[in-house]
Amino acid sequence: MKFKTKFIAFFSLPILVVLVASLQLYRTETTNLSRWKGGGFGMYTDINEAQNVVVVNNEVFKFNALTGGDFISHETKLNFLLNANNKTATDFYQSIKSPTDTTNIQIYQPVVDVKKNTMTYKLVYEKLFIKDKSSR
Amino acid sequence: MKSFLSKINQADNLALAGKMYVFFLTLYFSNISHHYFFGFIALLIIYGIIEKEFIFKSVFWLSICLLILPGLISKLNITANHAYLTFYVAILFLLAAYFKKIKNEILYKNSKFILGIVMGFAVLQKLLSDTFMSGSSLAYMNYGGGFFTHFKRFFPQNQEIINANLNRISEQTNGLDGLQTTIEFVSPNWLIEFDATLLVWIILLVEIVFCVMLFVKNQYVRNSFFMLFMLGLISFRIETGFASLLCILLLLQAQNDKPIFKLAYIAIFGLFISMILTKLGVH
Repeated sequence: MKFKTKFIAFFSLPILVVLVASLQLYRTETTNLSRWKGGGFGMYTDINEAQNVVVVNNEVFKFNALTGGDFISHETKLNFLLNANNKTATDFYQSIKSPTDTTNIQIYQPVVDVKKNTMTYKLVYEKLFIKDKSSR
Repeated sequence: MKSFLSKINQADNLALAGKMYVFFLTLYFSNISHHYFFGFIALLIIYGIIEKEFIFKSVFWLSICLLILPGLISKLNITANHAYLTFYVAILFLLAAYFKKIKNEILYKNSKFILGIVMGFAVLQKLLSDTFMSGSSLAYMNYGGGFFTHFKRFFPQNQEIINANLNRISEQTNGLDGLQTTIEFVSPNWLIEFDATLLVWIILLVEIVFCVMLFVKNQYVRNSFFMLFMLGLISFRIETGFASLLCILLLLQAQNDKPIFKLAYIAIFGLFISMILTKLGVH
């Protein structure tokens, strides 16, 4: 069997899986990407970021009150919760059509104390948007 | 029974695993692919079911791969891991269908590679996660009833505890003031006291042993462990989508083993599919 055939038949797929998983692992360690998503096989490692709470202008944001189309908004919501960064935050801000001149968007993450069986939340992401200007 | 086992033993590996995959994809394609391509995938699946020989053709599997890919790319950061695994298994069948002369070897070796890589990265991710290693993520899931879903009926007290925990979370997340308070949970216990920190090490050990078992030649030891693993998975956390794909890969790694093991994986796959159909699974 030629080397090229052998390589494609037996190594191309495992190399692809390893590359995608390694890239996802790198991104989870260096950005806010959730370990649960992106092909890294990190399910159950963290509390799923879908459990995080979004606060807009000091009020907990209720996702069933979205003004945009449900399909697009659900993706926008998940992209923001599972991979919080400038782009996903901006997409989220644009989808909520905030009426105020300044909009402060925060993400709070659950923190569990296993020994005491208690839970609180900590701020893990924050971004301030000012209307008609570049966000800070 | 003997003739049935004989048929399974004689069945072409690509045909058997491919049909299981197509069945799975029929239920899942709307979750995985981009909505622009729903119609194309549906037509392809229908054609694959009607034209049975089509499943042996590389063009069928290439089409599946190309139709799944846009969905993966468009939702790269929010797509669950079983979608990626669906794509990888389609590539595996594409390679087997293209290199027909060595298809069984391709299916056998690559299924082991993929299983090893999946479990290997699962272990690595857990070791790198402080939340997992402290037991926090497992404890949180237990508070909210994420484990032993279908055993709750035998533990009515736990159902009340879980409902109370969920109500506490709901009240805490009602306003910003609530987020800054600390709430206390009652931990549901299942026959024995739920110890999240001990469970962390049990899970890590089981996943490491899974990787090691892929190299074990004794088919009875290897397949018994894998079957127990899958049955344990059903009991603990019914991740039906991901587990169905693991069953297909486990079937392929057992292609040289006794047909009873293949039948077992097919039966477990059938159980997972029934849970997907009846929405008893997580997804």
